[in-house]
Amino acid sequence: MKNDEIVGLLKGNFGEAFRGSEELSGDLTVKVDLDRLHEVLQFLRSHPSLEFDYLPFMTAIDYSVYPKPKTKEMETKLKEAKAKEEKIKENEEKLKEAKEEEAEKLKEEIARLKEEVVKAKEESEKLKKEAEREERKKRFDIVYQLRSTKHPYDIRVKAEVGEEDIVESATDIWNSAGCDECEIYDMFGIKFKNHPDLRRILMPEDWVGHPYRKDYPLKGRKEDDEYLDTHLPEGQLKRPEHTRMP
Amino acid sequence: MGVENVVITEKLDKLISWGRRWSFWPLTCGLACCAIEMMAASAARFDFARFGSEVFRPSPRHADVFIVAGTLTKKMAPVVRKLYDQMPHPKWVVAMGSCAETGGVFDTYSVVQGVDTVIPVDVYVPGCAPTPEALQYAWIKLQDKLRKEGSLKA
Repeated sequence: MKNDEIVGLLKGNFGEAFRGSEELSGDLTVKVDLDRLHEVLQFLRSHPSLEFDYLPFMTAIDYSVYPKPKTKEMETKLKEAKAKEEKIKENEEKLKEAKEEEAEKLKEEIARLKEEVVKAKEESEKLKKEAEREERKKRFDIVYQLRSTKHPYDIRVKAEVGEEDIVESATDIWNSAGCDECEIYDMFGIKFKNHPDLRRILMPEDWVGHPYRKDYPLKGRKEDDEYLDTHLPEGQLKRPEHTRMP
Repeated sequence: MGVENVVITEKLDKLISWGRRWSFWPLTCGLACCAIEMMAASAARFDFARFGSEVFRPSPRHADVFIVAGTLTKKMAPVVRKLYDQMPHPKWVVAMGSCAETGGVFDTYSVVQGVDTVIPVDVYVPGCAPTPEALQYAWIKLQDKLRKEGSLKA
């Protein structure tokens, strides 16, 4: 079964909940609706010709600081390119009437302008692609990387998750999802229902905040600095000022 | 009384301090990659036994040197403090590697910026990770410190 056949199978079974697919050097990524995510995973796990029985990892992505499409820049770049093209035409008309010395100069200028036009068009093309990308409504993406040990397939399943959304746990499909879901809850603050034991796994249990969110400062907040003061026995050495860079 | 006693304590002090500095018992507590170098230092090639300190103790109640080998996270800091408190006097601390000294490259929300914020440190070993030779040099420095201090101060 090839990648497009897997995509066809999912499209046929889930219709509108299937949000599209991407392929990069043979790796297949599919996007689905959060509402039917659990069904899709169950389907991928149990379909006899797929049998994705191994979940290497799952994680989440925070898109809150993802760059927005630069439509204005794209338009200005296109205008520049048009103006330069007109100049080229003018110069070519001049070239017909010009004498030998002037002709060479004009030829050089035309060549230079042509190069610039090509560059400007390439850049605007890039920006256009970004502009065509759909603007995100929800903050996170949740990512499942699946592998089949019976058939030679890999697939990545993504679904958009908002801050308020609660994701259905995949622990009933793959046991190994348990720890990964704990980690996602710990670092991103995405909650899961039907999880047997959802709690922090990396940070201390009484930690406040979710460090992998993009709005969490890398060097921590003021409360984080005070963590040691509250958790070490009394009469403890005081935290020297020089130990934390500004 | 008086003069003779002073002579006796002086000699006894030297004897005890000599005994202590050639029989360090480090605590088995590796926090990160530096622990690999610590293990290498105690293995056959570099051979910590030459300093009388090949006995890595799994219980803090048997140990007298705490080698903080690696990155100390905030989650681990209370545990390290508890281990240090459980060690009987006299005790010494070696901060091994740049993470243990200052937090190293991990100037982040979760890492303690230097173990000296949690426990008092006697010897700092720079490096990332320090070689076994560096750790053994630190050992010699610690022995120097003990020789100068004597046994009564510890």
